[in-house]
Amino acid sequence: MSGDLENPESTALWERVVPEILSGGTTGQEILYAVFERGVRFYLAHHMRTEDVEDKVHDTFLAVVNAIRDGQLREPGRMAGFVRTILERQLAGYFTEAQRRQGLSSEDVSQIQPRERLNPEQEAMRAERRRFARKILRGLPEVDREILMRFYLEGQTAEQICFQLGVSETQFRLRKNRAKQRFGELVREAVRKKPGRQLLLRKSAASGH
Amino acid sequence: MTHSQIERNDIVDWYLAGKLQPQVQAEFEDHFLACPHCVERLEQDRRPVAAILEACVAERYQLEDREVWPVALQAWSLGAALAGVALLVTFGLRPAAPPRARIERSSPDRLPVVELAAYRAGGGAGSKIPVAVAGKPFLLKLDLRGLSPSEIYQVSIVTESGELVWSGTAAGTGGQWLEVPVRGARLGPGAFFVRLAGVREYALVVE
Repeated sequence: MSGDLENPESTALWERVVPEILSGGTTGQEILYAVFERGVRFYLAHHMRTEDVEDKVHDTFLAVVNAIRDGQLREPGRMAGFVRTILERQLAGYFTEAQRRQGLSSEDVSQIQPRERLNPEQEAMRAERRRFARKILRGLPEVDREILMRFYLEGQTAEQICFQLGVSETQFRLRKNRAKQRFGELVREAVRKKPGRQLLLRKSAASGH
Repeated sequence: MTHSQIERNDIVDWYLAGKLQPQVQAEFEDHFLACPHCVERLEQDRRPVAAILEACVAERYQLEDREVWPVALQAWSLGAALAGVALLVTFGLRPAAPPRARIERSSPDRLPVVELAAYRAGGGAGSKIPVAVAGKPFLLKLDLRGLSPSEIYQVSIVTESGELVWSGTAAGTGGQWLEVPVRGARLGPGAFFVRLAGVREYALVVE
C-alpha cells in the first residue's frame, strides 16, 4: 500500500533516512518533507480549522527533525506515529496559547479551540449557509436523505442502516456516494451561480461547518 | 490499517465527521500522514461532508426555521399578524414549541443544570432537545446508565461538524449521573454534541 510505513520497504527507507538526518545532511530532511508534507498540512488544517497552516507546517518539520536528532525516535519504522506525536504536541501548544489569549483558567478547561464568538455578520453568513445546505439536503431523494442523516448525524453503521432501511450494502454505498457526490455538485453549482458563496464555503471548510 | 479496511469501514467519512473512536482515529492518522491517496480523498470529501453535516443538523433540529422566523414575520401583513395574535389571545391557543429539556436552577454550585440522556439511545425525531444558554456557564449532567464505571471521564463538546470547542475531565462517583461544570466554553448559539470519552454522544442545543 502506498505510504504504509508498517511494511518492510518503508522501514528500510526510514532506516536509511534517519541516519542522514542525524548526520545533519539535507537529503534526509527532503525525503521526510516529501513523504509527509501533504498529510501534515491536511492534519493541521483539519484540527486547527483553518487553511492558514503554513507556519505550523514549517514548525512541525523543524520539531520532527530536532526530535530525531535528540534521539527521541527509537524505531525508524514507526516514523508516521512519531510525526503524529509531534503534531499532537504542536496542536496542544497552539490550543494552550489560544486558551491563554482568551483568558481562560486551566481549572475550567483542559483544552479549547481558538474559536471566537461570531459577530452579527458572521452569524448571518452562518445562517445563510445553513439554509442553503438544508435546501440541498431536502432536494435529495428521501432514501438518500435518510441514509445521510443516519450515517453522518446519528453515527449508525452501514450494517444498521442496511438492516433498518432494507437495502443491501452495495445499494447503501452506491446511494451514500451518489448523495455525497450530488451534494458536492450542488455546492459547486451554487458557488458558480453566486460567487459570494465561495467565501462562505471557504469559511465553511476552514471552520468545519 | 489497509485501504480495504478504510473502505469497508467508511473510515474517511467518519474521520471527517469526527465520529471515529480515538484509537481508530490515531491509526488512521498514522496511515494518511504518509498516504497521498488517502489525503486526496480527505481533501476531496472535506467540503461535501462538512456541508452534509451542517444540513443534517439544521434539518434534525429545525435550526433554519428558528433563524428565519423574524424574516418570515416581516413578510406577513400586519393585519394578518394582528388577527393571528387576537385569535391566540381569544382562544388561549399557543403556537407549538419544540420540546426542550428542563433547565433546573438550583444546582449546588448555582449553575443552571442541563441533563443529557444518551443521544444514540433516544435521539429520534421529536425527542427532547436539551438547551443551554449561549455564553453562560452551565452544569452538564450526563446519563451514565449502561456504561462501565470509571474514576475519571474525559468529556468534550464539539460542533455539528466535529469541531472541538471545549473539553475537560470529571470524576465519576459511581452514580447514574456525571456532573460536569462547563464554565469556559463560551458556546455561541447552535447545535453541539457532547462526547463522553468516545463511548457515548449526547445532543445539545445552545440558544
